[in-house]
Amino acid sequence: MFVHVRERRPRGDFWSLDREVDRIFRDFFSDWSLPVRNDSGVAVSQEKDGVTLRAEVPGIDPADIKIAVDGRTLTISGERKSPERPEGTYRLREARAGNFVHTFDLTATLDADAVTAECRHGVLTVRIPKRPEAQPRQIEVKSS
Amino acid sequence: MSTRELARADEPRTEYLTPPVEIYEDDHALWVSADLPGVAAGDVEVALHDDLLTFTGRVGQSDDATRRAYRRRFTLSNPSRFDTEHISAVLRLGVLEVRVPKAERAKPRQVPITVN
Repeated sequence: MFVHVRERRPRGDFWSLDREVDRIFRDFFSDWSLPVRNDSGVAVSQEKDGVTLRAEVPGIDPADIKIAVDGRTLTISGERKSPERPEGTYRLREARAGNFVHTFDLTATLDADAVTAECRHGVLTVRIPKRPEAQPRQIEVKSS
Repeated sequence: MSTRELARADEPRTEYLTPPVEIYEDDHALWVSADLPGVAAGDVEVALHDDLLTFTGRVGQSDDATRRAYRRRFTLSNPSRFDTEHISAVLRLGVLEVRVPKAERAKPRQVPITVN
């Protein structure tokens, strides 16, 4: 099964086995159009007319999220800032603050110029449609 | 991080997820915040029963076969230290923040020193 979006991992060989497992997992599930979550926390859904990426970005202002397309590379980056609080003490701190970057390689069937994004209730949804010529088509059967 | 619980037989099965939280304290209040991405304001519940503070946030469509919800519970040690009548909650950018004000008598006081 063809995978339209593959995440590029900046890490070394340590992850190669993980990457292979992830690839098989994703290839298997792409047949079922189920979102597949990789270890970066970005869910990738393969659809008939394109691909949807879904990332949880709680506590991040949409103005602090950048989506960049350079050739066939799509990069989502941003920063979660620590909330401003009066002088006091943290008793427990589980939420992660700081920077994040996800880089994806897009196949040529996807239209990198038509990427749209929306952020709602702390969830970022990025939609990458297929090129018009790669969209599924209905062929009309004429009667003679 | 997720925990699963069995719902009653007459209810759809709910899968509970444990959200990451932050607890912060100053002289006037305790703040408890939880990451609840994908949860709309109308789908959050904050409840205090005796000393048990519970947050629940439902995610996604109610007609799904499996319901997903975030849930986290905290026990307030010595609840009389807090003004539990005035707990407030805000949901912003997928983060729930609950403010539990301290009771007047639990706040630090300045004792004036008289110099003779």
